[in-house]
Amino acid sequence: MAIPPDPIDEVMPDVRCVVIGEVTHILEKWKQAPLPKGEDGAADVPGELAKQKVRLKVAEVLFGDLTAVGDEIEVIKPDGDYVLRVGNHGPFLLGDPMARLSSPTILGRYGPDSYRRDVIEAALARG
Amino acid sequence: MLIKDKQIRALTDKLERAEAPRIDDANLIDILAAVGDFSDFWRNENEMREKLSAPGITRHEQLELVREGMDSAERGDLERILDESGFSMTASAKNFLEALVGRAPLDEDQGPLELTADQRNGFVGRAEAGDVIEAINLSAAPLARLHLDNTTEIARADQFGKFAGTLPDVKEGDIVRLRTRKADGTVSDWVTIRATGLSPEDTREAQINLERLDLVAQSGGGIEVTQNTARPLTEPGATVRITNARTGERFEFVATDEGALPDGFALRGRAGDEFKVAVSDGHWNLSFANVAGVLKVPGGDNGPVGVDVEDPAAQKRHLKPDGTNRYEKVRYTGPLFVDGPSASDVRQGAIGNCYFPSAMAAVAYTDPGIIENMIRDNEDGTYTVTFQNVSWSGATDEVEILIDADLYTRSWGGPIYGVARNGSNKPDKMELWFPLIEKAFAKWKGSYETIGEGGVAGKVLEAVTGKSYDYQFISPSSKDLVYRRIAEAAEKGWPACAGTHGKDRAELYTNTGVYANHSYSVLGVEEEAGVRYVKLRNPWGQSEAGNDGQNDGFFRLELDKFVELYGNLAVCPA
Repeated sequence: MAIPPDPIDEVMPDVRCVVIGEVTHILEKWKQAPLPKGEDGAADVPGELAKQKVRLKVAEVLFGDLTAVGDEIEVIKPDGDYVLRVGNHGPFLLGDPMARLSSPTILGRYGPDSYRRDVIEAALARG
Repeated sequence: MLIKDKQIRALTDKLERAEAPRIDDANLIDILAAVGDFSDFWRNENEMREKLSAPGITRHEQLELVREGMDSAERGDLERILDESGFSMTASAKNFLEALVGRAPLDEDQGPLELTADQRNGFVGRAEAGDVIEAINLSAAPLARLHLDNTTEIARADQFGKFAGTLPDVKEGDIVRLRTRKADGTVSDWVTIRATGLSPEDTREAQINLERLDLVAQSGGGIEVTQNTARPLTEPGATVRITNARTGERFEFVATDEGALPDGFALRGRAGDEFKVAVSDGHWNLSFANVAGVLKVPGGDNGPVGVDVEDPAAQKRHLKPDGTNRYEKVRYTGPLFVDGPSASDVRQGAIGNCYFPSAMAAVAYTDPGIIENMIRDNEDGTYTVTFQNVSWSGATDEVEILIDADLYTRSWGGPIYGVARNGSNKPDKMELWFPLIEKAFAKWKGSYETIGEGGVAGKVLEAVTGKSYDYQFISPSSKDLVYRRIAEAAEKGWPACAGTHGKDRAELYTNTGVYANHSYSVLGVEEEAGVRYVKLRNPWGQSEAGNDGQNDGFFRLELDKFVELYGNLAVCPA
C-alpha cells in the first residue's frame, strides 16, 4: 500500500547505521507472491513486493560503525512497498530490528526514498 | 490630468486614490522634493526632502531650493496640479505652488511648510511663539497602554513661532498625532500625519491590544463585543480579522480614527468558543497569517462534549491481539476550517486510502465551496457529512452520515488516519474538515478497514461532487491528449486525479520521488521554455519529485515523465 513513510522518530531506535550508498548488484530475489489487482484506476491496492538481497557501495557514513566509506556490503531489502535495481542510490537506514539476520536490513517503508538527508540528519541530531 | 514627471505622477496617483485628496504641507514636501531633485534618482529626492525639512529653514529658502532644481516639464506638472487636479489644498500649500510657478508672491506670513514628519530631522513647523508641541505615536500606543491624550512634549515654538522636535520610537509609516498647547492650557485641534523619510518601507506591523476587548455570549445566540477602555485598541484604519476557531467563520472591522472598535460590531459563536485575532495595517500581514492572539468567550465547556455516536471500526492491523483498539479514541474540538478548505490541508494517515485524500485535495483545490457545504456542525458535538450516491444513469441520492469528532489517536499525538497537514494536530486546535469527512466516508462504507484496502479516486470525486467522472488510460502515445485534458480540467475548475502503475512495475519508481500504486491530485499544467509540465500533489503532504525546498507534496513533472510513471487519469466534469 502506498501509505506515507513511517515517522522517522519511530524508525531511528532500530537504526544501527546510516549510509549514503548505491546498489551495485542484485544478489538474490525471493519468490514474489501474487499481487492482487484492483479494479481499473484503483490505487493503494494491498500486497508487498518480495525481499531482495543487494550489494551496496558505501559513499558516505552518516551514523554508526557497521561499515566504512568505500565498502561494499550486502543488505536485505525486506518485503515492502518498493523494489531496488542496480543504480538506485540515496540514504539507507540499516538495522536489524529482529536481530536474527546475517545481513543488515534496510529500514523505512521506501528504502532510499524514505527520508531526505536533512530529515535524517535532524533526527540523528535529536538523538 | 497628464503629469509628465514620473515621480510627481506617482505622488499624484497616490493622492487620487485617497478618499478626499488634499494637498497639505506634509505631502507638498514630497511633491517638492520630486520637483527640486535635479534628476530621477531617489537618493536626490530624499536629500531634497531632508533639505526642505531642515530645522529653521524659512519659507523663502524652501522656495529657492525648489526653484533651483525645477525644469520646465515639472513646472508644467505643477500648473496642472493647480488647474486640473481638483485636489483641495491648504492655503499655505496653494500659495507655495502659485509662488513656485510665478503666479503669486510668496506669502512669508504663512511660515515654512509645516510638519514634514521626517523624523530624521524632527517634526518641523510653526506655531504661536511659546506654544508647546505635543505628540503621540498612535501606531505604538495600543501596546504602550497609552490614552489618546497621553502625549509627549516634543518642542516649544521659539520667539518667531518656529519649532523642531523629535518623538522617540517613530518608524516609517507610523501614524503620529500632534497638537499645540498654550500657556493657559488650551489645546489646538489634532494634526495627524504619517511618518515618512525614515526608511524605504513601512517597518512596523499594526499592533492590537486584546486585553481591551470583552466577548460575552448572548442568550439569543451571537457574541457581543465591547471595548472596555478608552485607550486605543489598535492603529487607526487597521483592519482586524477575527476567526471563530471552531466554525472557521471570519469577521472583520476597520478601526476608527481613534483606533477603536466601531459601533455595532458582533460575532457569531457560542460560550467557550475561541477566536483568533489578526490585524493588518494595509502594508503588513495582508494575508492575516500572523495571529496576534486568541480571545475566548467565557463559559461553555471545551472538554469532551456533546453527543457520542457510533464510530467506524479501526483497521484490523490497528487492533491489539485481543481485538481491542491499539489507538485510543480522542474527542477533537478544533475548528472545522482554518482559512477555508485547501489542498494543502490534506494529509493521508497510516491507511491505504490514497485515492481518498488525493480526491479530497483535488476538490479543495478546484472548488472549496463544495467541501464547505458537505459538512455541517450540528453544534452538539456531532457533524453531518453529505455524500452523493451517483447511479449508473447519473441520478444522485444524497447520503447523510452522522459522526462525532472522536478520532483514533497515536499515543504521542495526532490521529492515526487522515490528519490536517497545516498547523497543530492537538485535539483542541486541529482543523477538522478532512479527518471528519474521511471518518464519515469510513462509516458510510463500513469501516476504516473497508476504505483502507485501496480504491478509485474517481469514485470519491463522484461521491463529493455528485457528477460522474470519466477515466482514461495514460501512455506515452496519448501524451498530447492527456495534456489537453488536464489543461481543460484546470481551466474549467474540474477536479482530477492520476494514478501510478501497480507494484508489478515498481522498479520504475525508486529514486524518482513518485511512488507506485499511488494516487495524486492533478492540479493543472504549465509550459516553461518549451517544456510541458503537469502539476501534481502527493496526498501524503510530503515526498515529491525534485526538490523545490518545500517538501509539501506539491511538485511538477515533465509531461514525458508523467506519461511514463502514471497509468490513469480521472476527471470529474462539473
